[in-house]
Amino acid sequence: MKRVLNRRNLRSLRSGFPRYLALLLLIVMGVYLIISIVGSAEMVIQGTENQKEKNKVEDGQFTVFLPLTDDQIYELCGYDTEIEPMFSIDLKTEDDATLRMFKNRKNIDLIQLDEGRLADKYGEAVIEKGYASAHDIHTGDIITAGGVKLRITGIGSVPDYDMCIAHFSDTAVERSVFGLIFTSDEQYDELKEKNDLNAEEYTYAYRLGYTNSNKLKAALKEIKIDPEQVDNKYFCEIIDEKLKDRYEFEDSINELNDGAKKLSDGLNGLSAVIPELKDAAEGSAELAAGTKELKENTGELLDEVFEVKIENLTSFITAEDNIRIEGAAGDVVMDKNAGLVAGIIVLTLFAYVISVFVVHQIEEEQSVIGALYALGVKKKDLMIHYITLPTLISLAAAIIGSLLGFSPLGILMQSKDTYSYFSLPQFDVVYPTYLIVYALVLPPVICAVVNAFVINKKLSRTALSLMKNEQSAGSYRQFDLKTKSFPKLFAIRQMVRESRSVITIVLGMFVSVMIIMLGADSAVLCGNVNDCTVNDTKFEYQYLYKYPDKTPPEDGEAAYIETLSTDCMGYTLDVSVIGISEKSRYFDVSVAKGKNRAVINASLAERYGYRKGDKVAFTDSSSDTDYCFNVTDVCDYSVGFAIFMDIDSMRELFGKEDDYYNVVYSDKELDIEDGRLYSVTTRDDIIRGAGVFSKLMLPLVTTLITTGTIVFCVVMYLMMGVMIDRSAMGISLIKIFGYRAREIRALYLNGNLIAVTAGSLIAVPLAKKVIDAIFPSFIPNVACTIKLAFPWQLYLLIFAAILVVYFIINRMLIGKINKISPAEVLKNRE
Amino acid sequence: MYLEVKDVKKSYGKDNSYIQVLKGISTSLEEGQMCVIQGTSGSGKSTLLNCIGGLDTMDSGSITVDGTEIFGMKPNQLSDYRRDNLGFIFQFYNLVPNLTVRENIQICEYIADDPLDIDELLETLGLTEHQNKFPAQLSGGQQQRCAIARALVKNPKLLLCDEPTGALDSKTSRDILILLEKINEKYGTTMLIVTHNNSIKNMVHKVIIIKDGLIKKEYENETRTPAAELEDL
Repeated sequence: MKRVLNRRNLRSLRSGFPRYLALLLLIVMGVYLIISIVGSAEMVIQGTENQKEKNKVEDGQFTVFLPLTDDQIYELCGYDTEIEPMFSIDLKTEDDATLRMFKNRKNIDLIQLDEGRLADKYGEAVIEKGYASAHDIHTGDIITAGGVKLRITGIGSVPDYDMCIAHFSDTAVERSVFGLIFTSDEQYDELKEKNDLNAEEYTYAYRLGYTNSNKLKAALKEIKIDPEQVDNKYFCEIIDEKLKDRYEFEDSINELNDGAKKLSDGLNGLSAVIPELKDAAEGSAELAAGTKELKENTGELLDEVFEVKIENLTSFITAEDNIRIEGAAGDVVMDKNAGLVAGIIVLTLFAYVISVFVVHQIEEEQSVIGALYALGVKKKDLMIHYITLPTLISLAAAIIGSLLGFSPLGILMQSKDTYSYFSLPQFDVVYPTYLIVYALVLPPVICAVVNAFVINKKLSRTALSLMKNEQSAGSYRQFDLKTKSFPKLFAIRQMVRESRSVITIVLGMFVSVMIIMLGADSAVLCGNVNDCTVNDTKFEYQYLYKYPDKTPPEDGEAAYIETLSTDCMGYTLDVSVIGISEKSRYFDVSVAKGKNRAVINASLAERYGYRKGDKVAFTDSSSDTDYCFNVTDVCDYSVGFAIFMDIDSMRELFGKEDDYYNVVYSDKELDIEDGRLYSVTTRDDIIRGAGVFSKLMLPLVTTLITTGTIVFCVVMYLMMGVMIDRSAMGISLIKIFGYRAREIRALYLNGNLIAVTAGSLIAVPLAKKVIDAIFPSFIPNVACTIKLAFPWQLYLLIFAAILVVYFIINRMLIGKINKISPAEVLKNRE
Repeated sequence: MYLEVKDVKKSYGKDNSYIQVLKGISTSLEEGQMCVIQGTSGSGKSTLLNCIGGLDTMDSGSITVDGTEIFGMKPNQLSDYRRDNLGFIFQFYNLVPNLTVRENIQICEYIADDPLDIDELLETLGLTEHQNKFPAQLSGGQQQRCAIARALVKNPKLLLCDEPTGALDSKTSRDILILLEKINEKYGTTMLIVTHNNSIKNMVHKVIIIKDGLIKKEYENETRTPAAELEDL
């Protein structure tokens, strides 16, 4: 019996081949996308994890004013902790890009070469792969950095610059303007000599032993330095400014001392000639001795009053808080989760689509099923029979989709974007068991379960009822239709009759529109980030100071920036606290005086739902201090996460001097010495950085919109097709009555237009609502605005596109209707 | 003559599966006549009906209905021909299951130039109280009456009935036949009834008996028996 039924399955496959092929391709596409998205994410996550051990990624890094002494390093390296200098100098290239030069790494953050060898001689360097790719540099090429020509011996990456940005404040990777090179110690030292010594960054990387970061940080904070040891002239300037009063006091004492000595010496000489002056000479000698004693003792007193010993530590950041480390792995986590969840939704939809076909087949064959029941065939056997073919098709699709997904066409292609943005070694493709099980087992299982659930009722009728082809009276809902128009009435009845297919179309529309919305939201977000950045960045130049001058440049507007952080779904995001004057030319924000009064920007308000009057807290991770602010207003400024304060109040809050500033905004280029600055950012840089996201997201946006459109078209075509199949008898009948083609279309297809229009009116806004609600969870690691509002034209475009697709499919189905012969009805006779 | 069939031939298949179903049928029918076509299974009676109804094409010959030749008509023309001239009644009713009785009748009312009044028709056929029911809520006889109403609403000149009582018990069959007789009298509808029921021939004006694709016997029924008095239905 089973063998006979199986043979029948083969025949069904042959007769319904185009339909089964469409379903197969649909599932193949779904599985392929899941595997390629989730698989590429897994490849990056697991590859990064493996690389951690292999390349000995740091547990954190810190920067100091002065290089640590060997003794200090020895002290810090207790409990098996390793510390390695990662000193660097930024070198300019001929095309004004920046190459950060490091020595070859010894024990921490090792270089992973994609090709070539390490640079071990003069005139050689290994170059970071992203920069090499952007500049089309290959092993053996010569580059110029810092005025010196270097031969490239290898191309690779390092784990501490996975996200290769120059500054932690940078919003996006720009491969063409920033990269890394690694040279031998000798080459590094020679280049250092040629360049400004002050530009060298004293950064150390550490790998913890039996201790933790907090203890190491505490130990580092204990290391104090004498400012005089610091060679940097701008740093010295600041220290001199701090010590100005001491120097003045010392000078005065010295002058007093000198004067007293001169007086004593003079009177002493005169007293030999004029004996009357002997008392005065003795008195002046006592004064000179006193002032000398004063001078000697004042030194100690001033040392106590003007404490100038400073902490050597300038920054301390753990690997978890370092956005350059594991940037790619963090970025793809949401891809993985979204891919897995979306996969289940899409596969369930496909399974439901299949079930509509199976139900149609059962309804067509119910008299045969009844006869088989009468002959003793069990429901279980028929259930298995009807489920077997779709399940096998799902399994075949799952296998093909998995093979394609794991092939270079899948994972490697999908990970292209990640590789084109992050600086990663070429990871091996991984084959996680869960993903294989997910891809191979889930499609057939979902298909079998959904189909079993849907057809169970259909197969549960009695043999007699099935044989008689009985329609239960309750099959059709009685409801009054007010319309007098017969075509309308008929179309409504037809729609109600085909409610299962209509629901599937609407569900398919909803799921596919959700996929499209995800793509559209990504595109809209990128556009909005871009627009907000362009509109809200009113300055032309932003000078971030390392060593601010006593007074800000005349044409610049001084401000004070501190970076705090906030948590977003486990990710730490930077929040810039910007202290500005009341009448800022560059920020349209009305700040109020008060140590804890702040205006928060729109991005923060959108992401966390903060409102005026709320209390908000952000963390200073370097000092483990939380700062709490009262929100006095929400401003329409959407570049990153930012809060604005009155500059004086901010100085007071962070314990800075009354005239302190560390950033200057300007609408023209200012003449500021490079050595004073941490970075210069132009408006163009910011706009270009914001534009990078749009460029990066474009392939994903295209994939999502294309996939959504394909799913929509295929589901709609299949479902509208099955509706016509199910109506073949009716169409045949009205052809007999003499209905013309146009009238038949009006009766059988126009109802679909109502369903599609009504469905899209529900599905489009609903899908938008759902995706908008979950969208922030896709970008928890990006501090940006989440303005996702569509212009009304975009809604119109989506509706129009749906209707265009509908009309195209409608047109295609007319052929199917035309093929139905009037003689179809005549088969229904004895 | 209202209906004229001349030397109609029809075959199916090729080579080994070739079969000639109609081998040259010629007959005619006057307007308002009721005619029965009888024959065994495979004799060609339904094929002839389909050819007359424009549902099937003939290989050769001629069929004219009210002076219109249907041989060689294109599908669209055949469609218009059916629309303007014919009504169909089937053995298994072929009602649209998701339409009510009234709505099923409206299917044909919608395309008719001069339809009969539905309410009057429902009354005539005894369906007024069932007009808002779905086919699945009706008995076989009620369903066939609905099918008749649907066929008649267009006020067709020619009513083609393919085994109209084939699925009904004898009492219901008689009721249906009485109805057809009544309609014939009331509206003057020409009727062509295909059946293998031997009794029906007694109520019609003309009888055609087909065997192996040829008319074996054809005669006018001079002594018609009213449908109500038919036996062995």
